[in-house]
Amino acid sequence: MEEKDFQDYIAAFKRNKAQFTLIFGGVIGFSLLIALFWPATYRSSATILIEEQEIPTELVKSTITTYAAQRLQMINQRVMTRANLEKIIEKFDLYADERKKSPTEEVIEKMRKDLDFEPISAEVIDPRTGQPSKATIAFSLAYDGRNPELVQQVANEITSLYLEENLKSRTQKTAETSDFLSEEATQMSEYVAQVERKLADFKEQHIHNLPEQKDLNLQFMDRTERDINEVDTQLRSLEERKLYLEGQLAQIQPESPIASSTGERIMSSVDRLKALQTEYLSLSSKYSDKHPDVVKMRQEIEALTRETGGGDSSVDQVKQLTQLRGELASLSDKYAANHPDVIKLNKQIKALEDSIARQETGRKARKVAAAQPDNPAYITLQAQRDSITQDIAALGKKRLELKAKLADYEKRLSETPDVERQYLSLVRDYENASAKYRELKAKEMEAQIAQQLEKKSKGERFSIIEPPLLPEKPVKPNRLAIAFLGLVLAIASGSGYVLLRETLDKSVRGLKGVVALTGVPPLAVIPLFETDVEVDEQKRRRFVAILVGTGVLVAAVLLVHLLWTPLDVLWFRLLRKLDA
Amino acid sequence: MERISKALDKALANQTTFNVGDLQPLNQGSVRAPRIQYSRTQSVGVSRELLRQNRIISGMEPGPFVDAYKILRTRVIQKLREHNWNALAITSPGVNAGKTLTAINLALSLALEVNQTVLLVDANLRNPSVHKYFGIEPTHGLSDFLLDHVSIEDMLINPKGIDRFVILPGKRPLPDSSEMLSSPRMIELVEEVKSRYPSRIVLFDLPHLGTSDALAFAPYVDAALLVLEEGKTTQDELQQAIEHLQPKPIIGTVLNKAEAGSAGEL
Repeated sequence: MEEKDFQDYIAAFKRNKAQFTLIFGGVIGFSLLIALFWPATYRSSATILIEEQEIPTELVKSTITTYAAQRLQMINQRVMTRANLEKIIEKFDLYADERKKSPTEEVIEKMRKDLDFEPISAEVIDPRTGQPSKATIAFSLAYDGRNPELVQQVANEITSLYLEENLKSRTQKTAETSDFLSEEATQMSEYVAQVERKLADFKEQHIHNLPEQKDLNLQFMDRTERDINEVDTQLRSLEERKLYLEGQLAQIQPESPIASSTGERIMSSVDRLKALQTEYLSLSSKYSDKHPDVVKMRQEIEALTRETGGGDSSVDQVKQLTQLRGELASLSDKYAANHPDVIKLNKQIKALEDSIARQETGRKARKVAAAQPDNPAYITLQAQRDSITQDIAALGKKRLELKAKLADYEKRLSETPDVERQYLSLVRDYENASAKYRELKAKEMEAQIAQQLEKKSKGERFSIIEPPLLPEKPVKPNRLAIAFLGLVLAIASGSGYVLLRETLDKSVRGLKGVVALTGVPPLAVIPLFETDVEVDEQKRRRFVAILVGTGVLVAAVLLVHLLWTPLDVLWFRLLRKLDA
Repeated sequence: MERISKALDKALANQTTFNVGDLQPLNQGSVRAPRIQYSRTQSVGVSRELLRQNRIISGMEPGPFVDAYKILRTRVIQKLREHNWNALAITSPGVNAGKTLTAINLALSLALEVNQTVLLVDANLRNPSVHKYFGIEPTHGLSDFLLDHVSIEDMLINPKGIDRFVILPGKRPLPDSSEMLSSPRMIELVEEVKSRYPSRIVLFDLPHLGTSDALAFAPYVDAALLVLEEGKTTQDELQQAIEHLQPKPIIGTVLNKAEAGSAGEL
C-alpha cells in the first residue's frame, strides 16, 4: 500500500467535510445539552472525630481491643444494612421515581452509592511498636442528592445512626465481656469449692497418714519402742524375784508348827514319821521285834504312814483287786453264786474296794489341808509371789499392747508416701484452681470497670466536629469540564471518522493510486465536471436546507418560549448554571 | 500489486513484438486523408445544449475537461499507432464509472484529428445508451443487426456538424447479450468495420468487467481501455479486471471523475 502523506489527509478531510461537520456538530451539541441539563447534585457531609478514651489506658483498660479502622468498617456494615437504609428512604421519601420503577434492592444499591464513607488517616507513631504507621483518627460521611435540604437531613440521620451504632456496639461488647468473665468466675468458684471438699474428705480419711503427721508418728513409734524396752526390763526383774520367792516358799512349811500346851513345838506328822523311823531303826537294833516299844513304835509308824500317805498300799490293793476279780470270774464259771468260795471271794473284793475308797478320801482330805496353809510366813511369801505373778501377767499384756501399737505406727509410716502423693496432687489442684479463680475475679472486676467506662461514655467515642451543613452549591456536574470534554470528543470523533473512512477506503484515488496498482500512470485524468443543471440543483438544495433548518430552529425556540419556559428566564437560568 | 505490474509488463512486451513497419499503410492512409462522404449514413441533427448537459465535449467551450480528453486522445493514438491497432474496447472494472461518456468523448476527440475517422459501436447490449447522450432515436441498432440482418450501413448515424464521427447505436437491450457479442455475426461485423477504412479507429463501448459480456467480446478487439472512477473503483476490482482481460493488452487506464488535485504531480 502506498504511503499516505499529509496532502492525502487534507484531501480526505475535504472529501468528508460534510460528515465531519455533522459528527462534530452533533457531538458538541449533545455534550452542550448534557452540560446544561445534567441535574445538579448536592452533597452534605459530616466529619466525625474518633476521640481516645479520657481516662488513661494505664489506669483503666477498655476490653475493646480492635483497631479503630476495623471497628469503623464494622459499624459501617451495620449501618448500611438494608433495613436501616429502607427506613431512611421511607422516612424522607427518597428516590420516589426509582422506587416506582425498580425493585427495592436496586434503590438501596443506589442509596449505598450515594452515601460516601471515608476514613481520615494520619501518620502517627505506634506507641506499641515505635514504628510510624497510619491510624484512623476521623472519618467523613457524605450523602449526594438532588435536593439540598433533603441531602442535609439524610446526612444528619446517617451521622446519628453511626454514633448510635458505635455506642451500642461498645456497651454491648463490654457488657458481654464482663458477663462472660463473671460467669467464668462463678464456675471457677464452684470448682474450687468442690476441690476444697475433696481435700477435706481426704484429710479426714487419712488423718494419721498425712505427711504433716509423719514426725509425730515417728516420735510415737520411738516412745513405744522405749516403753517396750522398759516393760521388758521390768518383766525380767519380776521373773527373777518370783523365782527367788518360790525358792523361799519351797523351804517353808505351809502349816505353822503346832505348839503343845507345854509350849513345845509339836512336830508335824511327816517329821514325826521320819523321827520315828530313825528311832525305830535304832530301837530295832537294840530290841527284838516283840519288844513292846518296838511294836508300839511300829504301830505308831504304820499309823503315821497311813496318815501322811506315805507307804501307800493303794497300788498293791488295786493289783490285788484285779487278781481277785479274775479268780472270781473263773470260780463263778465252775460254781454257783452261793458257793462258799465265791461268797468268800466276793467278800474279799468288797473289802478291798472299801479300803481303796477309804484311802482315796484320806488323800483328798490331806490335799485340802495342804492347800490351806496356816503358816503366816508361808502365806506372806505366797502372797508376794502371787502378786508378782499378777504383775508379770499385767506387764505381759501391756507389752502385747505396745507391740500392737508399734505395728500400727509402722503401718502408718509405710502408708505415708502414697497418701502424700495423692494429698499433694489434691493440694496442687486446689492451689491451681484457687489461683485461676483469683485471676478470673480480678479480670471480672476490670471488665466491670471497663463497662462502667463505656456506660459513662468515658471510653473511645465519636464526636461530630463538622455537622452536615445545607449545601449551597452543587458538587456535580462541572459543566465547563463537560462542555470542554464535549469539544475534545467532537473533534476526536469527527477526525476519527474521517481517518477510519480513509483507512477503510480501498478505492483507487489519484494518480498515485493508479500507479501503485498498475505500475503505469493513467493515460488521462478527467476531472469531475458538474453541469450547470447540477450546479443549480445543488444551490437550490442548499438554499432549501438552510431555509428548513432556520425554520425548525425558530419553531423550536418558539415552542420552548411558549410552552416551556420564557426565553429570558431560560437565559438567566443558564447564566446561573454556568456561574455555578 | 506485483501481479498487476507483471501483467502489464507482459502486455507491453507483447506489444513490442509488433513490427514497426506495419504502421506504414496507416500512416500513408492518414496522409491521404480522404474526405469521407456519408452516402448511406444518416446524418442526424443534435442539440448543442443537450450535448453540453450530457458533458459531451462537442457542446463545450475549451477548458480543463476538454483538454483532459485531448490528452487522452493523444496518448491513445500514440499507442494505437505504435502497435498498429484500430479496434479498442472501452470498459471498466465496476458499474457507473463513466465508460460510455469516456467512449463518446474519446471518439469525438479522435474525430477532431483530420486524418482519421472514428466509429463508435455501442456494444453494451445490456443497456445501450450512446444514442441517448446525443438525443437520437435510431431506427436500427446493433440488436437489429444481430437478430434481423439489417445491413451495417442502415444502422450508422452521423451527428450533424461532427465530421469523421459515426455511431453504431445499440437501440434496444438484449437478454442474451453475452452470447450475441460472441456470435459469428458480431465477429463478422468487427472484421467488417475494422477493415473497411484504413484510417478508421473503431471504439467499442462495452459493459463493465463484472459481466461476462466484456470478457466474451475482448478477444475480437486489439486492446482495451479501462475507465476507473476515482473513489469508487476499488483496488480489488481493478486487480480482477486486469486479470480477466489477460492476455488482451490494456492500452491504459483513465481516471475518471477525478477530484481537484488528483491530476497533480506524482
